[in-house]
Amino acid sequence: MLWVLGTAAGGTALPAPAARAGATPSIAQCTRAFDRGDYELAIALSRQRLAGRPADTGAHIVMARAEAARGRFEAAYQGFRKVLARDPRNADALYYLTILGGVLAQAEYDRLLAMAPDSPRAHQLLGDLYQAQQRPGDAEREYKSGLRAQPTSLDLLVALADLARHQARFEEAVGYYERAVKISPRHYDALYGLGVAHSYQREYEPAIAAFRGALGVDPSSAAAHLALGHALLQSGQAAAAVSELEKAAALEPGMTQAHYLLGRAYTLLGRSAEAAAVFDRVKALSQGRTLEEQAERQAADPLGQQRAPAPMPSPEGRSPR
Amino acid sequence: MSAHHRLAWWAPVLGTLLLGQGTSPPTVSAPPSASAAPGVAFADASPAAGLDRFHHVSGGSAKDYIVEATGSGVALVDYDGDGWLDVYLVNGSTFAALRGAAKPPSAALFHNDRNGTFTDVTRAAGLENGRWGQGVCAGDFDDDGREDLFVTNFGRSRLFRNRGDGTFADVAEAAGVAVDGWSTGCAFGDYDGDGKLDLFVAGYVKLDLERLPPAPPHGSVPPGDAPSASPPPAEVRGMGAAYSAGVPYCEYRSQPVMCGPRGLKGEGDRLFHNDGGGRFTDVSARAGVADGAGLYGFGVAFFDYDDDGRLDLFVANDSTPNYLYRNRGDGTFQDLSYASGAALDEAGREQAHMGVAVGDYDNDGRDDLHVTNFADDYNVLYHNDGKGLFSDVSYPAGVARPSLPFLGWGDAFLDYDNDGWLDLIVGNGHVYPIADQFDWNTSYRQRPLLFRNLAGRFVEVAGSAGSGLSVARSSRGLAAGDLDNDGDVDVVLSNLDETPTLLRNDGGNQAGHWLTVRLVGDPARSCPRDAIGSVVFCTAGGIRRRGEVASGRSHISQSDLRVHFGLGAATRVERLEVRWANGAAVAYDIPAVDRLVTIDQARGIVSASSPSAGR
Repeated sequence: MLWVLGTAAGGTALPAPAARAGATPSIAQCTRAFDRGDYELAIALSRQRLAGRPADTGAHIVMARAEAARGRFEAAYQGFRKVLARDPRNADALYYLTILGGVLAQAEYDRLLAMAPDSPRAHQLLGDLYQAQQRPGDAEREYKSGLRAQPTSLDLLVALADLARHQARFEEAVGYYERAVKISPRHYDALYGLGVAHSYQREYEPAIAAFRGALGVDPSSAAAHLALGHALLQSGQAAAAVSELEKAAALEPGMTQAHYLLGRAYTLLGRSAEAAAVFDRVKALSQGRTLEEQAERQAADPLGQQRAPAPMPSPEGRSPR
Repeated sequence: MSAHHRLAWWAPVLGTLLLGQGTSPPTVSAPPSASAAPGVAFADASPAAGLDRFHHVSGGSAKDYIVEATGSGVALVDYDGDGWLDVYLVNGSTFAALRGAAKPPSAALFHNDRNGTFTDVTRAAGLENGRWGQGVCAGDFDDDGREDLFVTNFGRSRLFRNRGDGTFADVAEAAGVAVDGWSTGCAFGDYDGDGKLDLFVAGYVKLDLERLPPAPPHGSVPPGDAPSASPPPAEVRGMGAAYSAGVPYCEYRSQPVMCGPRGLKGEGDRLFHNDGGGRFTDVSARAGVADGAGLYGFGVAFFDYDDDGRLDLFVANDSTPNYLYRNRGDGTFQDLSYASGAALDEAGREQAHMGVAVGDYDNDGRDDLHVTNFADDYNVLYHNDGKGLFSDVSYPAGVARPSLPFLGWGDAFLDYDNDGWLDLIVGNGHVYPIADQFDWNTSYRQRPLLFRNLAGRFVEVAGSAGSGLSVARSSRGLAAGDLDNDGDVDVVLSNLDETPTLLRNDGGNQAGHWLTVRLVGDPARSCPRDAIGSVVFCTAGGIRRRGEVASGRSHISQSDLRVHFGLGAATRVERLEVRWANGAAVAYDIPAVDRLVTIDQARGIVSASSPSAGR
């Protein structure tokens, strides 16, 4: 994608044509210089233009792109940030900054691998990349290599735990999570994951303890309230489950699962009118939209559905480490 | 918003499952289990039986469109009343055949020759179908003592009336049950207690051949190279690829695949009331089961989950919540899907359900449900807790984890080892042929799963090398029944684009005693002649087992209408009680075990024959 920013190694350094004294270059002149690969000229012309028009975002962008093309990424980054400081909704600047972010990430990644190829972070990064490519076996190998180098790495312990949990190896996941919690007793991801792994094994008491721990770290986590409510419900504590599920539903009114489980809890408690109301809500959420909206959609797309294509929960994710 | 906002805390077990780490891959036979019933095996008897003369056809091999991937059902039904189950295999079709540019493939009726072989009598019987066949269910709708067949199609459905001379006539249009569009599962059942079999038909997707959703480009597309007319719909692991307006193609795990069903318009469901005289009336809306939301229906089961003597209705819906309708007894149904707990999994997630099996697996007297599901999600077992409530007990009961890499279709409860506890068999196969090209720990062809029931908990038992259970196919329909009348239950699988599989049960009749009951209802007492909807309770060895005469179920298939009980070591039946479909409960004295007993509601026990002696 570097082509978008220019060709870092390219750039035929044609001699800069003398700008007429006192004349401000046009943005077209700046762009033409960039497009033909004369990045130094593009920078010079943009700078000249900005001297008279410091707020010209177009010139800032051309200059930043040219800086990136010359491999001066820090200057390019600052250039795009300047544009966004003036115009936070500038889509061009955001686009190029996104591309530049990827280039910078690649550069740092290369540096890390060159500097410390067997470091825990290098293995972690490789593992994350394999995960993104849906190659869990390779990811696990890298995470384990990293953990051998740094047995107390919370990130690697949680990564391995999550990987094992997602593959139904719950006992193994519990082991990793417990190691992480021992090192950091208030680590949300470890506590939450530990609770989920225990829940899958129907070990509700330790699951409840873990979810309560996670909520101690982040009381506003709808997911943790939902998970705790589920564990309480499964362990026969419907009344306690109601409280947690109500909190989850209040935090995330569109969370179908919370409403459904709340309805189940109400049913078990004999609160049938409340259960019926909640199940109506579940039905409405599940169907996704009103009949009128459905009709509109169908009119717009004859093939189209009568309900949202993906009302289901999104995949589990870890918070950034 | 919380920094730890996660809607999907209880997503299915996500990610690719590793080979050999906790789950068995779909193509490889699971390791031998110490829990397997000694001396009992399922042999692949298809070639010897002659069933390999049928070859299923369903569009092209690439499976560019969803209609090519859902497959067809199979029925085990004694069409000629000789006391031996015959085999009817529904066939698919091709787009060329639909356009009239090619000869459509034919369905097949195989007559049971009573010696382990079958003879193709399709043409003589007039059961070719010739449309893009989907499901099949049996029911003697005109109470003439001969089983009729309803066949669902992608296209107009057919009601094959059994003339009683070995031939059938399609009377769907005259009867008022010629359903257009794409129908799948079906079941006969007398929902209003008037003694006549009514008919429920599930609808799947509204698919217009002139406006098909986009087909995938062949060959994988590197990430980032996909055209970007609009962003692809969010992928939901454990479900198929969703269609969204404007997408150039649909994606599953970032690979182009056929679209649907999610995102496509759903087809409604239909309930037809049997008015008598060979006529039916569509009462779907009036009865409250029309499926106005257009959920994607597959497996259908009439069953009396609350034991109030009235047939309730379960519809397994693909990628959407299931329906559970409670029969109010006034000709209408109450939608208790969510309230019952059988609409979603235990965490409140929708699943991509296909086939439904009904049976009392824990011998507590109530019917439970097993529903198959997409790969990367588990097959769900709903335990009937009584008081109208079901609980998802899939994980503790042992059926969830082994099913994760499998994409399940037909399923049936059956006591294959005659130990008195209902076991479970599942036919499997992926919908995406490209599954073989990627490290998804799944495969296009998959072996069946057999679970042995150890007093309420299931353990997967593998077939030894050479067993029919170790053969991987892309299976869809599945039906169970004692094809050779030897006292143990056999299984037939319909395989997509292949020959079928006959799993002959060898040794089940030696592993435990058994009793098979054939019921003949009395229409004069407002009970359907074939007694569909009747429940049989068999007490032996101190255990009370439940069985029933049922139409439809599994994945759009029809199992044996006779009720088979394994009795274990018990050498006598202490009590046999029939709750006839008209509500009358009658107890019968069973003279001996290891018998096929025929009970006529009007005359009592009329025969009790030993193995392989026919009726």
